[in-house]
Amino acid sequence: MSNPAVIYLSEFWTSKGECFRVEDNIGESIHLHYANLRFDITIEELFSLSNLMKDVVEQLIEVDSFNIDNFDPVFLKNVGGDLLDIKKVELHNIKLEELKVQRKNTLKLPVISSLRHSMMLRALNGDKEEYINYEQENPIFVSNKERLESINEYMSNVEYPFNNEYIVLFNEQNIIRDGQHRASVLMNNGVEEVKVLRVTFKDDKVNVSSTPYIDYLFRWDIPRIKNVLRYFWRLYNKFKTRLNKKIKRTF
Amino acid sequence: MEKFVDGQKVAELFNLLIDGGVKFALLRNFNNEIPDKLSVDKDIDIIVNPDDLKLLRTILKKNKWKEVRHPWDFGNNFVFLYSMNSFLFYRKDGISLDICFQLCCRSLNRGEWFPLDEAIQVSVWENRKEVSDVWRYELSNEDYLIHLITRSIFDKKKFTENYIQAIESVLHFTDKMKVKAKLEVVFFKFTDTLIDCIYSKEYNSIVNRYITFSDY
Repeated sequence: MSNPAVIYLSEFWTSKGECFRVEDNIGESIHLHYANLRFDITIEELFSLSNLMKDVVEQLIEVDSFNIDNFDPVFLKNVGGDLLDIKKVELHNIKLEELKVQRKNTLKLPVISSLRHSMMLRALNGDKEEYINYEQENPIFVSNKERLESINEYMSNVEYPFNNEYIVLFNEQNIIRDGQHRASVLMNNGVEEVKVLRVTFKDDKVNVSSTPYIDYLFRWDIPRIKNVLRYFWRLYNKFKTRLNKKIKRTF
Repeated sequence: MEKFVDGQKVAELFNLLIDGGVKFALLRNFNNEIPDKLSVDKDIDIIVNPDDLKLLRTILKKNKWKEVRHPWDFGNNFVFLYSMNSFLFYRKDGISLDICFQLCCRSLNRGEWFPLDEAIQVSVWENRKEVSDVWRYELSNEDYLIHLITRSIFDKKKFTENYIQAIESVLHFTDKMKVKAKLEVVFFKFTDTLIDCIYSKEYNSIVNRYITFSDY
């Protein structure tokens, strides 16, 4: 019998196309899947393994100022491929007004805007629609609205940074890479300046274009070409069906 | 004013299934709404033995029941795992008939539909009760309790008043050990905590205690 309460804790695909996945099978065990292998471990063993992996990552990244506890583990997983290129990590103060976010404009094109225009901040001020429909990874059974409300409530009671986790910026860019919720709540609470963690990568790796909509419009990879072709194929088929019906009606 | 379906027609539906030889059981009848107080907005939930799927379709089609898209079917959300039969939904004379073929629940991961353990499916047909009501067959108390609990936790993610009342109406007529054995194949090491919560009527804390359970 399989367990209906399986929660994917983490998942990624290697460059060889093999999947590594950590599953919580509630009440049963933690499953570590790698390609065709499965290891069953207890929660305690998962925590031991996690601590071991933290040590491994800290030893691999030969930057003195890098402290793994300053980062959200989910965020670290997402930037895992670039961690070995970290050159410098530093804490410094920045005005919240200077922070920027990646978002989509009214034409659904990706743009870089001031934090003031972030959907989280707008949601905190009552304009919730975009944020509620936004797809993001939340804790289980927690909706976007509940997540924002809980962060807002939590931050009213404790001081930033929480668990030593800071808002993260990359290279010389002021675009928030992690901590948009926290930054929005802080701005909404009238905070003007915060301490952020700036991570500098070799050769300005992982920089984001300042005009992402141009990249988006001119970036033609295979999946996108397939999607467009599929769209026109569907359009063609619809047209053909209508035409056939019209011809049948005429004769 | 609330509009009810015709109780006579509801009785005819059950007679049709019985006369046709379809092995079925009524899943739920909260507040004794069936047959006379069932609102037109509500449906009749039954479980049918998967071996009788073809027979059921033939009988309903022959008697002008119209198969319609299931109200929960929004396309990509309607996924059935482990060879589970998909639900069927029929309508006639304002009566909506929601049919499943296995006791099931939604997975917490992506909400796919998931049959409960095979031993529970076997038990449904071995232990179904014959009653004198118009529906004639319903689940045994133990299977009904399993159904109510799994549906509350996995599908609704909370214990609503109707479900709590239904659980309490059968709880003390069930064999605790039999219930435990069935719950264990679904909830594993959480089973003891779950049973304690139910017997002590701590329904509101069950879902949270389940997803934060860590003693394994």
